[in-house]
Amino acid sequence: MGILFSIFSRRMYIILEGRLLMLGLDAVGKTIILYKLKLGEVVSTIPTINVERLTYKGIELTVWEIGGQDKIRQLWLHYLTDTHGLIFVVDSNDQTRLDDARYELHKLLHQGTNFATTPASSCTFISKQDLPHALSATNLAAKLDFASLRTRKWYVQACAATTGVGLYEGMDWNGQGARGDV
Amino acid sequence: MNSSSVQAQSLPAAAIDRVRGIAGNEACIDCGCSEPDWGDVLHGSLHCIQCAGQHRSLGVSTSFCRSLTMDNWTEANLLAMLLGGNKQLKLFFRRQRIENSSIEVLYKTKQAAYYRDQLALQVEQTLAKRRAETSKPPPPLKRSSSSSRTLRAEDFDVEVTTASLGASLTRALPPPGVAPLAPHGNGSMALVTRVKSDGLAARAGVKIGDYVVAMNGRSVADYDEFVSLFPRCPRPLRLTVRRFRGDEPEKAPEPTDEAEFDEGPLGFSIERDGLAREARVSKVAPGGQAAAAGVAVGDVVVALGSRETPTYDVVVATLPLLPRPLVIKFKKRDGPPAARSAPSRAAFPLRNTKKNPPLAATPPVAAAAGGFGASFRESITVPDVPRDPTSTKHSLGEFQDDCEFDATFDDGPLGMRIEERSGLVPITVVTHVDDTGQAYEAGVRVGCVVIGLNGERYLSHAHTTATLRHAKRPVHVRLRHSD
Repeated sequence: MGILFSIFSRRMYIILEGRLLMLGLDAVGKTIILYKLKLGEVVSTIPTINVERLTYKGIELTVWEIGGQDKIRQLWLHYLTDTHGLIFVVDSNDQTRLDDARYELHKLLHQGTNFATTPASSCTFISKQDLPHALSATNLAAKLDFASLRTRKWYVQACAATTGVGLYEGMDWNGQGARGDV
Repeated sequence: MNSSSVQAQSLPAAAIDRVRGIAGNEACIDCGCSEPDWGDVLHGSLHCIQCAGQHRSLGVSTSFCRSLTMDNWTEANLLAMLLGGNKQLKLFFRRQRIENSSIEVLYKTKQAAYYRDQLALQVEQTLAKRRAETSKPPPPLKRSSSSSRTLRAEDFDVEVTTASLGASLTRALPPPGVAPLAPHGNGSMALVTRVKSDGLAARAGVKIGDYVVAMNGRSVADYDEFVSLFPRCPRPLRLTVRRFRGDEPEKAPEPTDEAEFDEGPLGFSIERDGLAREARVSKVAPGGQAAAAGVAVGDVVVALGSRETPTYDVVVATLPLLPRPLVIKFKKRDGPPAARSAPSRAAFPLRNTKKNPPLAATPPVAAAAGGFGASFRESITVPDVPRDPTSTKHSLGEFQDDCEFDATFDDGPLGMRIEERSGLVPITVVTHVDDTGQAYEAGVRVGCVVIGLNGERYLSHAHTTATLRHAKRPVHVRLRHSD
């Protein structure tokens, strides 16, 4: 009976899958966000490339998270293929590198238009909101010049990865994007 | 598009080697494992990947880690690494008794913040200095322009019949707007800094501030050529001396008892004055604020702002913190003010500095250390960023330690043995001198330290021995007397 029920219940859901790409400059908190979503805890990280599968509200998400070191940044473009959503992470405490972040984001989206299967939407996480001297999300959105991205859907979400504040709101939006694509 | 990524570039292999070669950088400062690859450009320290990961969680304002191989570096980042070093930071933490703290605690202490600030200050000052150097208009190339609008050059000949000239000379840069004498020289000129009252030079009318520009009608390429040729030229020898007129007011400011200092490097170093425990000026950087104000070696600090008769320790502790502009009063070495009249005393490197700490042999990277009292170290040459090969030329003329001298070796045995002596920085030391060899005649004695060859400085021991063994003679060796 139990087996029957489980088979039945599985059929009830349509299994959705999505592929997300998480990018950002180095040391902005990408890996912390990923593992906060996956494990619910804050881990100590090393600069690297991570791939994790996680289930969020019934969607199987494969999150690719690529390091932000200058030489790795050149590889970002190649991970864009077959991606349903892009998560770009910006450190709200590091105002000196905002220009760098804006440059990299716009460069990526510009180059990405040549690929047929690039994500039409991007969500930007404004991380480290729990630290002092953090810029607000609206302030940062202006500085990152989202207004010029007319053909894309974009969404800016303030968050603090160590506490988890704002992560799920951002993932909700990503989930909708993934659902729409699938 | 953005300025920082335009300037930043990946590190060349030579720069990586140089960063790794700094004392303590062979191991991660936090865990001690070998092959650290991540530089914290705020502390100038090297870390392994695991510890760099922990540093990243502190936030980029506390610890900004960059990969030696994967990241792009700005000049300031690299300079911070060269001025810093694991050993230096570790010693700083040890002095502060916080070395055993965990990473999360240690780098968030106010001591670490102080260290960061000092290092950043040092980097900024070094960059400003370099910018000032590079933004100077290049000197006119033709020799004939030495008698240009502002300076009038007057040449006269001196007939030298004795071995000694009766004058002291030093390495100096040409006056502003005057080109170096020869394109193949190192840009320096032989400047007269002292004239013996009863010597040959005094009788011929040579004065302090004159330059020796030619020997027997042949122009002298630079100071080093003069030093190597002068003792060996047959007598009588005809020297051509050039005097520049029109620049005296700028070059010889009237020495005052009071000097006012603005922001930035003070341009002098102090030392403890024996029993009196006073702070005595041990070195004046040419072209610095102190030199411009007429401060001379041997002057004693008698008042610091409103504070009268501070001891050496008080000066060291309070000088970096006092607000600028700051008025410092000096007691002149020569007692009554009338006695201090040597016009070029403050404008050029001084010669009576035997008590100088032996700075020239320690590599500039270690010597220009940040940390407490960093503002006193302005007169030390700062390291050249390896990306810019031309800048080594500058540092040669920048700072002249008077304990240094040149020895020229011709064909045949050198008449000395050298050995590498390890320490914080390995140095090459003369361990044996033959009584009748070339070395003895050139003034080399046991204990002398080899600091350069043929105009290059800070060479490795292996390079030094190989050059001495195989290079074409004559070889010019720059040495420093032991203290």
